[in-house]
Amino acid sequence: MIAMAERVFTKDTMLDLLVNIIPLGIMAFFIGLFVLWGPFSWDPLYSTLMLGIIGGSFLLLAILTYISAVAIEGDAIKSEEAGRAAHAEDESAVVDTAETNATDTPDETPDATGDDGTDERKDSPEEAV
Amino acid sequence: MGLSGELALTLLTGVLVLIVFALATRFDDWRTYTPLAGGGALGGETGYGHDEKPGGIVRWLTTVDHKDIGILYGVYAIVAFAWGGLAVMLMRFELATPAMDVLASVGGRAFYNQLLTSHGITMLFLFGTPILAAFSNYFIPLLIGADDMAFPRINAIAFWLLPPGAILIWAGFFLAPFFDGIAASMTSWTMYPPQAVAQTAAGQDAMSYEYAGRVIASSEIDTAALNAGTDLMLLGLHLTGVSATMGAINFIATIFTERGSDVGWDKLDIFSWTILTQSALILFSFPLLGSAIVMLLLDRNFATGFFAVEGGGTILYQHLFWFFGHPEVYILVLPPMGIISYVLPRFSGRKLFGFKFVVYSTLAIGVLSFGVWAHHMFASGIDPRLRAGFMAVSLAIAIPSAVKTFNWITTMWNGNIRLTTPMLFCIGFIANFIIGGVTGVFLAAVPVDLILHDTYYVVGHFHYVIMGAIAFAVFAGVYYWFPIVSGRMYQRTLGKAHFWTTMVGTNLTFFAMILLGYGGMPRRYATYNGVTAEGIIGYFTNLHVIATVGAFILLVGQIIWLVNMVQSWLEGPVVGPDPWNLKEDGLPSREFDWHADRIETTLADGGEPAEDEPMTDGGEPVDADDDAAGDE
Repeated sequence: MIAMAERVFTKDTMLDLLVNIIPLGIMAFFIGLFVLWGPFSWDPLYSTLMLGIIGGSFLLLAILTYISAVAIEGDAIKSEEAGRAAHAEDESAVVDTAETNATDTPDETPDATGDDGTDERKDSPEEAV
Repeated sequence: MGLSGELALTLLTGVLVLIVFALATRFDDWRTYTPLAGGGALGGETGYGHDEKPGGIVRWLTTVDHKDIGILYGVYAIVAFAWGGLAVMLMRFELATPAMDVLASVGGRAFYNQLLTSHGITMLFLFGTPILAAFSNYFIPLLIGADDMAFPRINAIAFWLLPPGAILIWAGFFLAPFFDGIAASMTSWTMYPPQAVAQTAAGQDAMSYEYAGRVIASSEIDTAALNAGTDLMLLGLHLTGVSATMGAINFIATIFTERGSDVGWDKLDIFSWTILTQSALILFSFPLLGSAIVMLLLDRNFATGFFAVEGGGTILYQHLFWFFGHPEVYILVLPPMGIISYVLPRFSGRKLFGFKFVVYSTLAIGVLSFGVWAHHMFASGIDPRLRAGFMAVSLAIAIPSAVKTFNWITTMWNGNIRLTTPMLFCIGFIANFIIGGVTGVFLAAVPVDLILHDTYYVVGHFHYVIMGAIAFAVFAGVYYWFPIVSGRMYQRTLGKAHFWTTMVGTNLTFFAMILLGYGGMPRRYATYNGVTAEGIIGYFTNLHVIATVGAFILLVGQIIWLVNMVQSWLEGPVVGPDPWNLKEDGLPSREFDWHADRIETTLADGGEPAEDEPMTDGGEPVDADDDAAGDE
């Protein structure tokens, strides 16, 4: 898990995650502001709720950002490795599985994300039926 | 022999019939839909069936095909759009003058309030959510490489809950001529108690009564005097909530489990990401609406005290409602953002800039939307510490939306922009969304909100988002995918006319509202002739006239659109496999690949080939679109 996290959270990924880190920063700023220099007097119920709302949103966003980053970048790493493996097999002229075949001859179906130019689409068994 | 002989013959005949039936099912399904889905007589798959659909109306009543259900959602939403649009046209004509005149003969202020309520609820629940479900039903399975939705029958049920929902929501209008005690609801879309708990058909308060010429407040509700139209509306709303929840579960299951083996999370397209996030929001927020509605119904009909002042209190309702209501805003805006992120790059000649920015910011919006609900309640007297907390999160949620706007602009930057109709709507979306978004950031700040709360500024702000952005994205999607759904191309000139009338109409109407709000014009009022401040009546009247003219231009634009859609669906030129020339730019998309496959299969099946090859934006050669003066 830790090894995976290290592979996922590279500099590029952190750059992608910046869009979520900024709102996290804004919420952290307000938590700090209200704790250190609260405009209103401390009230056990309302002050806790106030910090709870900001802190809760902060936590949930941090957790979801982590989970989604692992899911997205993890899949990206996997497909990258699969592509590399297929490429290596291609070079040694070993073509033994249907999946490899499909990877070697990508059809023109796009990468729907438009994120990068690589196209590693494989014909799914469902489509073959 | 007698009886036993006859019995033996009957049995023999029965066995023969069974054998023939079993043999027949071995060769083909004798009906398109068998009660035992897919199986032959011996329980095995025959490999036949489910390819053909019954003809005529039966097809539409029995379909479980995601594409058909998508079309049903679309048609339903357009009917609702027309209803909500006509309601607001009446309101706008009334508001063109300060006094009550246009609606005076049909019910006056009470009728205005009914139109207001119906417009809001219809546009949000009967148009907004279903039109997005139309896109997602049709295209999500195609985009993720699934055969259909995970639960096709639940998909059909989710749709078929909507028409009864609409009938119940509008029932007050239909029943009012026949029953004295029933009128359309006048609660506004927020349905705040105590008004929503104690309103009569005449718009009066069922908790007060007259005694010796004086109005006496009562703690008891006279339930017999309540407007049954509101009860019917609440029940209808409940049905639409159930429908949305079922749809959401279906989309989550579909996107998680039915993705093609080649579609990892990193390869999931942006529209599917927004639908996934939207579905999660629906799943966590609509149950709140459902329970609040049930409590309202109980308070109204069974004298419970959930929202009574001496019970849970009216602010409890506002918390429950807005815990649903604010995510609802993002339920409505996230998929349109997905459509824009999907369509805009295709006509910019470039891939979406910062795809992952857009994905992560979508997820961020999804989470944070649950931490901002009380910014709708800043003026309700809640504790200032609470307001400060919600203000902080409300300011934070502006960032992910701004990031998306940045990405769309950067995608267009230095791109090879083709100003087709869907692209025009995409650009219009960005322009309007910036105004809608920036006005929203102001409202997120407590001190500004306290001044502008309940004025037309708020109305202008959210209409810039709902009409200026969400509806624009819907139109972008409609034009972009029209060739797939109908197999034909729309009329280009009418499409452009639709865009410009909608763009001009939207900005005239809603910018005037922002100025009205700065002037202090309160929202939800049928008249404003009671204003006594020097000179302000003229200011209000002029801006209201501008808003009404804008609304009229919008109406004309939507009629043009409807004519274009119907005429083109029936008679438009048949399109080829790549009507947008996407492959030229190296930006093909999965659903158009499916479209091309379908055309190829049709041809192999004996269909006639299209007369002309690919047509972009109304059948004109694609190069003409690149030309700024291309309207030859």
